[in-house]
Amino acid sequence: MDCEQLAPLYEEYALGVLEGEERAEIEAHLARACLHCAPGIEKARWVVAQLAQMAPEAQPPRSLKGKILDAVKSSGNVTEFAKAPPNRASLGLGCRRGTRNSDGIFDSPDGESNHAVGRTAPADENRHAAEQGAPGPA
Amino acid sequence: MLLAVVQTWPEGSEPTDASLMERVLERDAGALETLYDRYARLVYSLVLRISQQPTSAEEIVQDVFLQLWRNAKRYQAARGPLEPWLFTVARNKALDFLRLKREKQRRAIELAFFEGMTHSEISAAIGEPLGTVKSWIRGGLLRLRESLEEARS
Repeated sequence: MDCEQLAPLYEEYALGVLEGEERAEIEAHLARACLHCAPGIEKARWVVAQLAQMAPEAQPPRSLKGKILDAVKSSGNVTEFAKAPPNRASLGLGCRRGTRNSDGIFDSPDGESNHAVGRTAPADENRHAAEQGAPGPA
Repeated sequence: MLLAVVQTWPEGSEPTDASLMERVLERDAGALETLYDRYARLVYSLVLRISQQPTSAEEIVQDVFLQLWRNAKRYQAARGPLEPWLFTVARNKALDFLRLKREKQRRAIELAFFEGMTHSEISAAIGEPLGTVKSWIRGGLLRLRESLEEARS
């Protein structure tokens, strides 16, 4: 299929509902960094991401921000702009643990496998989304 | 000091996502905090809608922002807008969670029906807490009942 035929399918691809030939065609265009489809899919990802606004509004627990910032800081390698001498990070003095170790602690069960190949992050996430398909009926 | 100047922003103008990501790249945790303040509510709402479980939603949101911190360089290389990237990563993680939960729930019900296991035996077999196993099985059976009732009516 050519790009013109694929263009109306970009959003469905980004949503992860496409199957079979249509999906394979888009993936083939993406694999060769097609100048029409790659930016088209990029835009479609943005469009589809807006569906997140449909989720009922919920407030994360107040403690969550602190947990995340603590995790980031305990992973070392944080530049303390206010207090530390500017060369602290570059000297690696902020690293109390190895990067691998700190990464491992907080890795999700799904790991980083969707980032393992040498493509750009959004394309990987996109592929990942497509692999998952739509969630089944609840 | 130059770095101190970078930290202050003219009144009324918010730093862009791109400039905050530049600072995240320089390992500035304050920039990550600003991004959290900007997007955490939306990301959490999305993830909670998918996972339907506050504890898991919290873990997933934490995971998303830690991934943003760790993979800032890779994100920067792709240079798309941040918001869809965050939503996509969050959605994928939440859907992974949901899929895993459904698989385990199915497995728990299979162990009960085909192998005659009790709640605690299933809990030991699949390595999930007893309370979790109970709620999965109950939830699965109630869904089954509802779908059968719907099919009959």
